[in-house]
Amino acid sequence: MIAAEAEIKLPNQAFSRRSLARQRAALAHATLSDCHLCERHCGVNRLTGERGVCQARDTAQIFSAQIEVSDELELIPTFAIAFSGCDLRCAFCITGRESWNPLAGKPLDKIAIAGRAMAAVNEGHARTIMILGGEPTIHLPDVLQLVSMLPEDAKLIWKTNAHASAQAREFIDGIFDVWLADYKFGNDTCAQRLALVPNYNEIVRKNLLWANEHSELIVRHLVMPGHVECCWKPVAQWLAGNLPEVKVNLRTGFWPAWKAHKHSELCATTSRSESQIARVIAREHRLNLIE
Amino acid sequence: MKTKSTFYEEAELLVLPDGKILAHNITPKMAALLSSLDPKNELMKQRGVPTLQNQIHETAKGN
Repeated sequence: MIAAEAEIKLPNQAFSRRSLARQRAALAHATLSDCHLCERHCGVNRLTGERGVCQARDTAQIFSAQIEVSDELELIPTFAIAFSGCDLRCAFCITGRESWNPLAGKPLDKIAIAGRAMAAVNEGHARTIMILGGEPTIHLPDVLQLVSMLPEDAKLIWKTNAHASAQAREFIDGIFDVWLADYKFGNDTCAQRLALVPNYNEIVRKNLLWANEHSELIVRHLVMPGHVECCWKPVAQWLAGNLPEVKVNLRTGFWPAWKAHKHSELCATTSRSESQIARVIAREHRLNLIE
Repeated sequence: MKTKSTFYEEAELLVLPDGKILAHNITPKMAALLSSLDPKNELMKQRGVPTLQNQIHETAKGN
């Protein structure tokens, strides 16, 4: 697997973003025959119909494409393009129906979506374009093709679960202006129990450190009820020690969506007192909080 | 006409028994609505959206 990753010769940074994306899209598509785009490393041949954990095929579907203003103030309004399917299995996913099903939504019509995104930016309705999911990493070939049709100077946001493989990171190096990355769980036990993902913290930390070196980085943490001490506190401690300047958005608007009812502590919203404690922890660690 | 690449705009709201409203995937029009419900909400104001009155007016003009 490592050898295969090392053999991929990616075009260098001298190319424009559009041409870089176009060239890498073809290379990324070829890797679907032995898929290692995320850290699940399923190694399935998606070109022949095999499916890994994410169940994704070789072409992407999207379930939303619209202007939104609920993200970070410095990024909005954004034209948000949401890809169906994800490699995590978060029980509380607010878009669980679409994120757990890569066939949800509609086929990605790249020309039409790129046209709408371009119009939104050119007409002043959006100042950024955001690629998100589900999880867009699992659809890198189509994402890169889409990027190759977007304006060279558009500010592109990569909204991710930070569970990408080293191979995937190489494909998106130099493509996106901002990584908007989730850091959901502060310990691997909660990650395994709530998102069925092993070794979560090591993988996410590797991705965040890489992203911070290669682009602008904003880290998001959704405060979950009953998980301030076990999840937010260790995340805050790690960020303070390893990415002390990074912008952090602490989200307190958790609601019990999708399969959250299967976990008793997730059957409620985050309480006012938990939100306050979470903010105190952030201040104690001198985190660079943004809204 | 709704084409393959067209989606209806969507936002989701959760209204809690204490009157608190949580919102997801907020569109500019939804932000205007939420802002009109709670004009003192600075965070929603910072979303830089036009007022609901303007939005309604624009919609009417479009018809």
